[in-house]
Amino acid sequence: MSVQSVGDEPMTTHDLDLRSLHASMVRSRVLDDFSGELARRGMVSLAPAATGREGHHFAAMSALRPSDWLFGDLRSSASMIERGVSVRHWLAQRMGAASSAHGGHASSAEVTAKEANVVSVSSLMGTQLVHAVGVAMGMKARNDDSVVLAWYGPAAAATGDAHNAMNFAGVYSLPVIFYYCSSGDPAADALRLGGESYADRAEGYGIASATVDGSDVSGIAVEVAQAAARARSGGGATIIDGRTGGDPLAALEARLTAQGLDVAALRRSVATPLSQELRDAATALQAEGPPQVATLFEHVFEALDARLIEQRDSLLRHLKRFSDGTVD
Amino acid sequence: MPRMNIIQAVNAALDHALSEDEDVFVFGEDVGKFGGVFRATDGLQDKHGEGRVFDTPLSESGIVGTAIGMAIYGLKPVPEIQFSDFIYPAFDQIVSEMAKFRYRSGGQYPCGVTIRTPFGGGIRGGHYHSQSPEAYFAHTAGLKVVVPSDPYTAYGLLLASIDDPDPVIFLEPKRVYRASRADFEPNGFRLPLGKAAVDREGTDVTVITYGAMLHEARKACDLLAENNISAELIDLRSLVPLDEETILTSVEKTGRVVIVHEAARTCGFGGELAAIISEKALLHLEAPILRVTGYDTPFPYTLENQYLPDAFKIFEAAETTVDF
Repeated sequence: MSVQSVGDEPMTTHDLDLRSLHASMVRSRVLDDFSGELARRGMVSLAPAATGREGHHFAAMSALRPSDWLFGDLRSSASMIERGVSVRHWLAQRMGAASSAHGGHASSAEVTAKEANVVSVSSLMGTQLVHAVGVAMGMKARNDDSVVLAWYGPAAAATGDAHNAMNFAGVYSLPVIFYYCSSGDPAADALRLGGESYADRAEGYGIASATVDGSDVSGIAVEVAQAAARARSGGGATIIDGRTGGDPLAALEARLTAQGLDVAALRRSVATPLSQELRDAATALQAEGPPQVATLFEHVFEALDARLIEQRDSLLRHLKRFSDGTVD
Repeated sequence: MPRMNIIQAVNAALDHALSEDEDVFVFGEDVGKFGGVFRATDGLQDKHGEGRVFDTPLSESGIVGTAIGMAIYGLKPVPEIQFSDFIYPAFDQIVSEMAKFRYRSGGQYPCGVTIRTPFGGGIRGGHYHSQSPEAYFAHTAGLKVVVPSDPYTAYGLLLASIDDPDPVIFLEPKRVYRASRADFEPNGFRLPLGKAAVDREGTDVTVITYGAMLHEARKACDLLAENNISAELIDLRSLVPLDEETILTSVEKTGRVVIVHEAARTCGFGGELAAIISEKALLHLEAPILRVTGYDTPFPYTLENQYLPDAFKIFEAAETTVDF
């Protein structure tokens, strides 16, 4: 199985490693399940699952370079683990733990991993698409041949910022891939989008498009590789209309089974150690306790201004006085 | 030493920043080829190229969102919003994204955008070309709000804002864009954010203002002096960070305060100033703190001079505090 790049890129063969892709999808399911469990226990807030979207996430990433920037939405947090961030680092952010990268400032789905070029996720819909354009603008200005990929769904697709982003990407011919992931429920999508084909919108913006089936990981990898090659060679943006229907993990497992592999064993080999790792990490993170109160005031600006110092000190004095829960 | 108006000072500061730092980019509606509706970017595209100074589609949310992306990539974008009245389509990007990127990423993604935008009335612009939105932004954690009042402060504060690693809303007093002139050498000097200026020293009453109202307040101080009232005049220069020390030192000296701004009164920045003074200098006060502001109406077209604070309104308020 191979994917060929096009455009000015040297022709390269990208081997789509189906076993690796399977491991990524299984990992994502385990992370989703664990998030759900923590949510039921009140340890994690809003953290929608990636279930059904795994092909869009991991087959797309397999066609990108580590230097390419990723803008996710609430469902795509496992992308940082795919790029080598540790499970504990991911879970710390999910739980808002003291040792997390954002120090508890962001809610459960708003993950960040600068070292993996995974940009801080917003809970708002569609705003990130314009930021993706801005990063692509920077890449173009700096002759950086990286590209930007942004995942989003029907809710974000309905926003004004989705239009703004695509309009700017078309006007400036920017190296960005807008990866739309349908919800898997055509009736629900129809309430948000007028047309049946999201890809058709690309023509109006003067940018390229492709339609992919979320269960066809090879097709996704081919289209993302082509979009990335187009972007790197100055050919501008692409909308990928990602149809979500069947179960991408089941579809991939059918292929692996046909190759004679024992998918149940493969699944266990990923899920069992990962589940244990998550449980251990959660215990360790809980033991950390909450972040120090003073960190509430950090990272508002590069440095605390006089007003923030005054408010911080006032809160600390107050908490000290009432630390035993009584008014004396 | 050249004589400059505010437009020329802004242009000179942008020219200096573009020359000094290749990470600086200037863009917005009509800023490139046309040089800006007020000519603030005149000639910059010819000098620095279409890659550094460029026109955008008419989409404020697109402009600011793009600037955010450029900033987190590591550049220093300086977008222009043509009139501050047009900034509201970008409000979500400014308040929910630009102001929060550093915080929600634990410092991994600082967002050093400087949004330049002309604000204020007195140009027969009607309500969509005259408003003063500073309180919305001062209320938002994570934003700095900087307001020059003349060419010298426009130059030094704009360069300091572009240097700043955090987002800055840079409000230019368009009413005095050309009327305010000053002689200075545009040699790249910076004025610190968060440092107010005592524009005039006095002993009876402190007048606190910013932007175009500084010029009305100066006239008011002249009128007060003619009537044997000695007014101290403070030009805040930046609302966030705020120079409380300069304010409180003056209030402790005079015991009377008049706050002047064009924006509507209710929840205007003057309310915040009055609260701070009450909290920290109550026992020094000889009279209630008075505000001279725009009214709680939409900005009017024909009657804008009645809506806006002027020297006589400021004079009357100062006189009231002295006679209290």
